[in-house]
Amino acid sequence: MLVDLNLQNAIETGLQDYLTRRKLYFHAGLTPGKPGVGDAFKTAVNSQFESDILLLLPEAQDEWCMISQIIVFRKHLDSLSAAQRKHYAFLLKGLACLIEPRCHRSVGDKVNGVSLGLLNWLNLTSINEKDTAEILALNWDMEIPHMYNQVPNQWILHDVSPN
Amino acid sequence: MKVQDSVYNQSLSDLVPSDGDRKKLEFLADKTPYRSGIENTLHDAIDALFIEAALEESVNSDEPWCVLAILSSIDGVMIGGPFASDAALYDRRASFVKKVSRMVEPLCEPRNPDLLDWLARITYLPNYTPESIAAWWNRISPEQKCDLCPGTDPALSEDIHDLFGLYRTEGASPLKENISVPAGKDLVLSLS
Repeated sequence: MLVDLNLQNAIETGLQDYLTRRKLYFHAGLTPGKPGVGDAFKTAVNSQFESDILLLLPEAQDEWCMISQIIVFRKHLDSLSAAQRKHYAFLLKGLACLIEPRCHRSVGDKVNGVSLGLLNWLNLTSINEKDTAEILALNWDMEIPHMYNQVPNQWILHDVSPN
Repeated sequence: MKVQDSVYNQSLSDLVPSDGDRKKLEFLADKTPYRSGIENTLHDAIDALFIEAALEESVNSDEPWCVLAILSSIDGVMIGGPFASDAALYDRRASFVKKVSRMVEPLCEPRNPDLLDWLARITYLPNYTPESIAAWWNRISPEQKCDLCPGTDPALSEDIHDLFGLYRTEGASPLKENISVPAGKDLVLSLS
């Protein structure tokens, strides 16, 4: 496998353990379609992020991190434990609080400061890594108003608590 | 962060060019309690991918480092873990032990029919090489060669602590089930 010299230097600086470097090159060579070392790093970082998020449920304050965590939880929505569901609901609630001030259309009734309509919409709408609170607020403004003015799933509603 | 100079930061940008991926890496390094910096996080991430590939049987190699890395990955999940009674994994392990035997046997003095059995009973660590295994075999007594649980090479099991950062020197395994979970959090095993 050919690796560009700059990248090779970067790997040797960033990954000082020889065995780990071999594993990286080996994995890069194994990956279907031969996408190379860069994609192997990307896969490694994303896999580790997913694993740690599911295991440790770390708090997230930044919107990028809430969004990235929500995306991870959605991949495993059918098999989440009670604590993971609670954390997912906590993330949705946190993100809803960041989106709400940016919305121009009414967000409807609130429970403990969180709009149920916005929360329900957020739970159902597709979210991707490049989304921000600003983009999601624009998307909300463009939705048909009555579509999401319904009560969210009971377990999400249950976790909409003051704290 | 363990290494914080500009060369390292430039390297990190080259290695992980996506801003989102770098944010995730930095978040893991800073916000998860058992990690000690970006370099260790990268090591753990690559190790985890390799372990996953080894368990999924998508890795098959005759290169000594790779055979031994696969065995250490298998032993890491079999000891006390959910794969402890996985018959398929035992079979896979046995096939890789045979490969190790072919590498180690020419280096052993004297040659001994117990070698293969002993190689099947030892626990493999990531820093083993055919030469180090042969040296271990060559220095132990005939009685030790028949030990039912030889464990790890004492000469190398201490060295391994120097290879990695705080996370591993504290004795934790890269396996998730051995990580202490913050109070009030559920433990979920995920190797991916």
